[in-house]
Amino acid sequence: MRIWRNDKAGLSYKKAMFIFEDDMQQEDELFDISRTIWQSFSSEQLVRADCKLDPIQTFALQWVYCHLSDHQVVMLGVDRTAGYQLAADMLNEPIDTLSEEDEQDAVVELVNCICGQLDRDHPANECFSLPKFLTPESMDTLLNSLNKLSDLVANVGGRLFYIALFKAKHVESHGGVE
Amino acid sequence: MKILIVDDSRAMQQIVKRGLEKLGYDNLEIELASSGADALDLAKKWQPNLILSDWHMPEMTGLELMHELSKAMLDIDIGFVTTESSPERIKEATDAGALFIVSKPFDVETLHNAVLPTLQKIGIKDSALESESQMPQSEDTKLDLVMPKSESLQKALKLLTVKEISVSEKDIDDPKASWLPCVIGLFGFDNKKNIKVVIVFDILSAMILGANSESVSKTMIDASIKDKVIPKNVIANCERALHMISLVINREIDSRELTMISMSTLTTNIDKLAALVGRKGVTRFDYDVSNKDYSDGRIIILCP
Repeated sequence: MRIWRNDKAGLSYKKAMFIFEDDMQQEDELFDISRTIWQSFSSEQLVRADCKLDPIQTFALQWVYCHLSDHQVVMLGVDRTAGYQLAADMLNEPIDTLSEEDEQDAVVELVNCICGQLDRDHPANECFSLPKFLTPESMDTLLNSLNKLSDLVANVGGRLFYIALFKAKHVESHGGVE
Repeated sequence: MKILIVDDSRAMQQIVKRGLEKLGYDNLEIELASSGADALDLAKKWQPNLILSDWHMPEMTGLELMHELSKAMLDIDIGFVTTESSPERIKEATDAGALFIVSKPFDVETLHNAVLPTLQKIGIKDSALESESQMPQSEDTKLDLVMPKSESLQKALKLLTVKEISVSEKDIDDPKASWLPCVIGLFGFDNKKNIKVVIVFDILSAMILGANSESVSKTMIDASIKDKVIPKNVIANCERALHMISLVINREIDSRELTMISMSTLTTNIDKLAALVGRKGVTRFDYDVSNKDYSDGRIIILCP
């Protein structure tokens, strides 16, 4: 059963949080939303994989993050080939005609839609941010400021897809992380 | 019908464009803009009927684009296709006159429902009412409709409104100028063009049923009634109310399903309304619709 509550542990966290009774439910919802949105854009199926992945060790993926609120972050890693396939499906154009900008545009829109759906399902009374790409250096800094709430790995056309939800370790006086 | 899609994402531009093309409308012209500034330039030159805009764009947001269009005195319908869902932003958009907000990703049906009022307004205006040929000519094609119960209508329409409403049966009157403008929905079976049912909302019932969100203030409703202008967002909500009534009627008839052929507004011509409701052989049912602020709204169901 899904639970809605304000985080009592930190009084600075006044906004409703995306918290479940167990990690499995949170992962299930993350996966369901990711799959629904991926498959609304692409003919490729998103299939859950029974494995774990450490973002900090997986530079080969393309990483994008988005603040759901001041204290919650969604991070998505996707293989570039899968990103190109997504762009080809979204634009309805052959892969070999697409630019890197097209691929990044498609991935950003994917993350934007996933976060939009999470925001609709768990309104936090805050605007979620626009997705941004992560470099290995900025990923290090960001991950150091976050605690992972849940994550999952999936396959799309045999390529890796990873999505995780994080919570800020500390909320600054202005209420943000980074 | 000219539609301008504004999105800084080329992928989303194409998805929205394909969504519109799938609706299958004739003479649909679509242009794309990737920024608010480009959209504004194009809107001035090309004069689209409808703008479908993203909310979050660099330099000029969708809302800022709306304000710029308004400053430029461009009377263009605008709706948003966006991931934005905060109630404050939605209120900002609807207060500024946005007709709808479609959440990304969307399905074709959702997009269709959103753009339908504008497309119909552009496409048919009052002309459908003038087309006598659309009316069934022989008696054997007439639908044998039993008067829908006012309780059923009230229950169905209540689903669309935040305020309590009451619906009761009413004696038939001659149409009055005070009923105008009216919202009129024409319905047929199985997407065929023969009109089987006509539903009319006078301005009061249109405002009672259409101004059903908390964002529409009583002051705004009073002004609309006084000025005899039904706002665009109210017309869009009236379409849902028309559909809801058709569902109630569907329950009264066997197997075949009524679908909306078109929706239009009749603004000034009371004779046209009188001709429509007073046509020989037409079965007519009248209802009063009221809420705590307004009474004597008129719903007319006609079976030609």
